Amino acid sequence: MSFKNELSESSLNSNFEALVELKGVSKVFDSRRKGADTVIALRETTQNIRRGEIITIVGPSGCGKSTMLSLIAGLETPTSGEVFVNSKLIIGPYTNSGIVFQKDLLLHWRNVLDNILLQAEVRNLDPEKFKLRALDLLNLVGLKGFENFYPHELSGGMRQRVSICRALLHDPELLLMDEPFAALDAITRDQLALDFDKFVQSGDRTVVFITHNMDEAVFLGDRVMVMTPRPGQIAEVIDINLPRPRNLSIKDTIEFIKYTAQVRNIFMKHGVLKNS
Amino acid sequence: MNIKKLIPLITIFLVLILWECSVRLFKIPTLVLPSPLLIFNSLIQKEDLFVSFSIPTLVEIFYGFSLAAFCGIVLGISVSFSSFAKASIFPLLISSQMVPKVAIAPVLTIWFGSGLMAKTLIAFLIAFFPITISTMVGLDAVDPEMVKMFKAMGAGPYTTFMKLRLPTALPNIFAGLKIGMSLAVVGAVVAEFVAADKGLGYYLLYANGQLDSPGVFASLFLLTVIGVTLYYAVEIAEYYLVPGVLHKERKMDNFSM
Repeated sequence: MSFKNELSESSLNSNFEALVELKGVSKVFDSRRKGADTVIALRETTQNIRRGEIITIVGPSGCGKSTMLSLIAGLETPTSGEVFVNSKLIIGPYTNSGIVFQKDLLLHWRNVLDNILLQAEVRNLDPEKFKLRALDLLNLVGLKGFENFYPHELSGGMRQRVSICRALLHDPELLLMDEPFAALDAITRDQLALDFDKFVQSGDRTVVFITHNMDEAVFLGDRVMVMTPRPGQIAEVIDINLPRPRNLSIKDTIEFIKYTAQVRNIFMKHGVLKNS
Repeated sequence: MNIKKLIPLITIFLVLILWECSVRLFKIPTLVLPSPLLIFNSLIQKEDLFVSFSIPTLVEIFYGFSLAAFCGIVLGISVSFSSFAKASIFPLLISSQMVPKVAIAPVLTIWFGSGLMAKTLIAFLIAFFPITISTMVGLDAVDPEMVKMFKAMGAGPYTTFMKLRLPTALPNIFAGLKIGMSLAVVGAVVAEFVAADKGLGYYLLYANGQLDSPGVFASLFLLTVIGVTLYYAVEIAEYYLVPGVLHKERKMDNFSM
């Protein structure tokens, strides 16, 4: 039914405009141990991230997925190659983005509202002007009425919702998420994944979402970038033709199972997963 | 809850009674250990003297502590900002602490005379090291991921310092200030031991020479009261200045209900 329509719509993406362009980007770290060689965190990579898509990056630890995120955010400089966002070369921190980390990183001495408004304060924007937006965002993530609570009074899931609000306060075109749900329990994680489309206003905002969970990667992504370690590189990028917004029943469909199997098989092929 | 607050007072009172009784029961000579009542008596009798001698000691402690707090915090901050400052100042700082400051007191008296200056300096020298160290430790204790987040928001070093590092470091800084405060009292008394014509430390030594044990203990008592009061003054300042302490208290109250 409408399922098919959306399928064909999201598979039209071959000529989408690129928001982020990685051109031959690599990152090599000097090993701290004496005598040891340098560590290649990310092998030369060329990849585009399209405007308005949600791309999930899945891979085991050490596959360079966090490094890739830091490179896009301009927090690390590439050893070779160039990163462009909006066709502009990234040389310092790229600040028209919002970042959500695995830890919520809320300041314990600020209440929920002030934690969200920190984004405006740091950017020298008038926090008063952003107050309404902050309250709207809180409403959106289901934390209406919690603005005067302190982080320690909230559960892990609620804290991560607050940190998502903080990342979205200035309405960034690019949202970078580094395993944002990894520290949460499985049920809270499912709930946040279900609310995800609403949070990020998918369709308008470009999201790069890092995870080590194959299910989560397929469930959330318009495309899944599968990465393998030693050295970190992109093994494959898979288009996920599943309708949005997604609900949990999608996990029971053949399509979903096929996608996760496809990701798993890539890991098997590259020796990330082995049958014993 | 009110009873809980009274417990320390009741304990002190019981100890005093025990003290008084033991002195009487075992007939301990006054020279060795005067009874609390005698000490109290001495305080009342020489009230004017104790009041006028407390003031210079308080002033020395105040100046010494203020100078130590200012220099310690400024030094701690500048060391945390520049690795050059850290490399050059830190070894100097450590080795300066290995010189017994009590032993420098006579030297300082030669240099600066027996006035307020020398005493302030001695109190300062003793008090400032822990303040510097705890400021440094506090500023270094910031979660590197937090710093990364601030960087991603486009924050410069100044914004990161004001909004992240300083608030994170404040509890540590106040821990240092509390230690510094108690050390400033020690410094002032030591300074008065060396050369003074007024002050509680001076009177303590004088009364000791006169074999006036109640006078000695009365001075000790006043010094303790001064020390405890100033310590709590820092604690109250911490309560109002350190962000997050207030709401944590609120949470504690909730839990105890």
